[in-house]
Amino acid sequence: MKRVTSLGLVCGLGLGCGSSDGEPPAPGTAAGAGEVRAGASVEADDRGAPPGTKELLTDETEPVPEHEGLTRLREAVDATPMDPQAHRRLGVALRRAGRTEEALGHLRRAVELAPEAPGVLLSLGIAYSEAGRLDEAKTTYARINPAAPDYPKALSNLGNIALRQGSPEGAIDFYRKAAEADPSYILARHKLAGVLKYYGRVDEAYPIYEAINAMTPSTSEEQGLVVDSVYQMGSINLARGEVDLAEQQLTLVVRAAPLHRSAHYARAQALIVLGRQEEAERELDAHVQVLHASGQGF
Amino acid sequence: MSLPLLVLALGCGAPTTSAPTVQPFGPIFGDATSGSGIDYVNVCGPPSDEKGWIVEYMGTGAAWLDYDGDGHLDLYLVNGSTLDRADSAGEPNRLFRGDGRGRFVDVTAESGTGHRGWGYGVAVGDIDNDGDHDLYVTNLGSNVLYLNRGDGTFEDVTDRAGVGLGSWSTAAAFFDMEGDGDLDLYVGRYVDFDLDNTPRRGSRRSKPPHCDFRGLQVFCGPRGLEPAHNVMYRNNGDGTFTDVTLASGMQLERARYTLGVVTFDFDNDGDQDVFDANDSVVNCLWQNRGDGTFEEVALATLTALDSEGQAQGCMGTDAADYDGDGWLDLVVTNFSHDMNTIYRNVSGKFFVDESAAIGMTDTVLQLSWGTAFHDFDQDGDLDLFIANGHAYPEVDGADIGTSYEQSNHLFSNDGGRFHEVSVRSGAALALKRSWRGSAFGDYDGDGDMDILVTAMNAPVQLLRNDTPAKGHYLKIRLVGTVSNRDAVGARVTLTAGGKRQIRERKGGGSYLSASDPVLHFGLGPAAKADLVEIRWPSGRRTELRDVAADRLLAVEER
Repeated sequence: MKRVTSLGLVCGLGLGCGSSDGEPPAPGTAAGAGEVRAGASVEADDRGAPPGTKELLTDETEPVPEHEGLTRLREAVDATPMDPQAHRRLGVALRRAGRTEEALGHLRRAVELAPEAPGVLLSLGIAYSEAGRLDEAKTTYARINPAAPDYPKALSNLGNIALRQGSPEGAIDFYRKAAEADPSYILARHKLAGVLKYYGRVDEAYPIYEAINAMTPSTSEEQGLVVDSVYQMGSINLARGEVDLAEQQLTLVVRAAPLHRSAHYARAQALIVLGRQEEAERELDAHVQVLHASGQGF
Repeated sequence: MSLPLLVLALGCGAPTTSAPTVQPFGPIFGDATSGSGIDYVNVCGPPSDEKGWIVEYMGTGAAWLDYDGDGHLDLYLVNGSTLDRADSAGEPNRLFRGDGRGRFVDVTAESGTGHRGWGYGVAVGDIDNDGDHDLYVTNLGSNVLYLNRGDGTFEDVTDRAGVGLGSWSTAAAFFDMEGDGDLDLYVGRYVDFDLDNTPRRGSRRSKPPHCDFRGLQVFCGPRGLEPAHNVMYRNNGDGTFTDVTLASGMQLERARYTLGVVTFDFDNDGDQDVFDANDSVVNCLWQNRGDGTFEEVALATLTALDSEGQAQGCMGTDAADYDGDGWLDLVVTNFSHDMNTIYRNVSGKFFVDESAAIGMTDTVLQLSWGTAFHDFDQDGDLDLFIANGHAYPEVDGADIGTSYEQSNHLFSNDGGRFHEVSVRSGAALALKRSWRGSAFGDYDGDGDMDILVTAMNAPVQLLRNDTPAKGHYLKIRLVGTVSNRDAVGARVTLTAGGKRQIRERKGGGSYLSASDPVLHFGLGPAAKADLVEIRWPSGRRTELRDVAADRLLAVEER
């Protein structure tokens, strides 16, 4: 509880809570404005994407500067055509611009120039994954050296692919390995717990969320994951019938992250069960505002 | 009132005295389509690789009804069309007369029910209380109301009744909204479809409607297309209907994409409430104030959204008391990569989304449509059938864990938790197609519930319940006199072997389909019902005691 309260202050200062894709929030984006993002979706039409798994499908991405213009990046490639990092930077920027095929060309070139560089392989794997070429993505991730710092990210992204292919058990295995490879890797733990919870294994998920809540986040995204973990604990307690505890946890979350995609609704459920109807209606109203703000629901 | 004034044992064999062994492996179904005489093949747009617009993907429904009053279920199958002939002549809907033994004869032409529009759904009800079943067919374009003349033929009374409507209607339900003794009509609608302003499948767009799903180029919508408003028609009692959507309080500021409708009494106050299963937006639950006006309470009762507070891509729905607590619960079938939803009714005040906790995690990868709770093995609790099939043919080969053609789901109820048992319920359930509607009824008169499932651009499947060792059963046909003759809204509470069960004559349910109006109870080892209590829509009550099992009762309201 203490941790959540302190994080609530952090989130309230607008430092961003809840993004789950590991990318640094760009100025002016929802996360950057201190809002909890609904989970970056990999598809424009996210109808049917399971709650709690939309964000799981978002790959861990590369710490590459986002705002370098494509022209400058191309000039860099032209100036240093044998530099794998130049190709990688341009490839990542092209991928983010939606120019997948062009991106793949540069990323494959980067891998040719640096066939064992983990970051380069990670970027190529992500591009393949986004292009729906999942087998090639898996093969690329598998080439990353287990001793490399990017290895846990590759495992996490392999978990995403398993989930996309309809294998929650495979995803659980990869996320678990990612968390074991880097015990400080909050995102992997959060994804692991998310799949477990979604598939009804709440008794396994709950202690993972508790552990996340005890961790020290180092980025705003990780802070968001910690807050969300408290929401998840509240949600699980609500389902278990531990309604008072759930309501306390969810109260902390709605204060810490007032634009959380589900916390108001979960708290409303708790309040309805507790017979606190007027408060519940206020929370439902707040949730409707969240839905409207995200363009969803109506 | 403790005695019925009219109780007819219509007989399906004498009740047995020894308790049958309840089949431990759950229900078994056989494919009885071949040789049944049902030679219908669905048309809903061109074949899957040539489809382009949303109207070509939603499939059609079916209805079990006894149109000629011979005591045997007949089958009405709605059919669609293609865009190039939608304005002229689509495939005709078909009516098949059943002989009660599994054989069907096409009587479409002589019955006059072969409408050639682009059909989607069907509702069945006795709108003039004359003792026979009338038909309402929903279409892309004007809907059709067929009045049963009682001689095996129907008259198209759409214009006279004033219920043609237009746009794109999907689910429809007959129920008595204000308790005046006749059936009113609720029509769910989907998209105000305009071919000229709807982009084709795969159009790359930066603004809605989006035409992609997980990186696949697919049909556009429904989000981003103009939704069509649902309509509530009051039966004027003279063969005409009046649009009372606004007066009844059911006019939404912005329409939602309704695909499934069921009417049921969620708060046990004796009137029919209405649930709309909406695609991609919040659902609606219309609480009947008892006078034919409604208040929308989905958000307040926690049925608008899933447990995470998110709208789902809802298709079909049904209501029943799966946990035996005396309150009707809801199932809602959903888009793929999202599990189907079961809302447990808590004392009529709110619902709890129990989906993950009670077994719906097995449904994540399927896209689900028709559904119903029934006691298929007659062990005394309600099982669950769900028809599956993806909307997007493009998912084949996309390696996202799902496919266009899917097998259907059968869940066995085990103390309020559902276990998926289709793999051990007969080869018929392994058949993969892109299934859509499903209708439920005892077409062969052997006392158990059978299933008719429709499929996209394919024949239907008639699933005959072949469960070898079932529990006892009791079927009850309700005949209203003061209440509407179909007794829609009646509630039956049955006590047998120390266990209480409830069934309700609901309106609508499943997906685009209508089921046998006869209520079916599984009694397990009990060879009789100790008590049958009927609460009629009029408020009258009937009690029957020591009713022998394994028969069909007709009970008239007095």
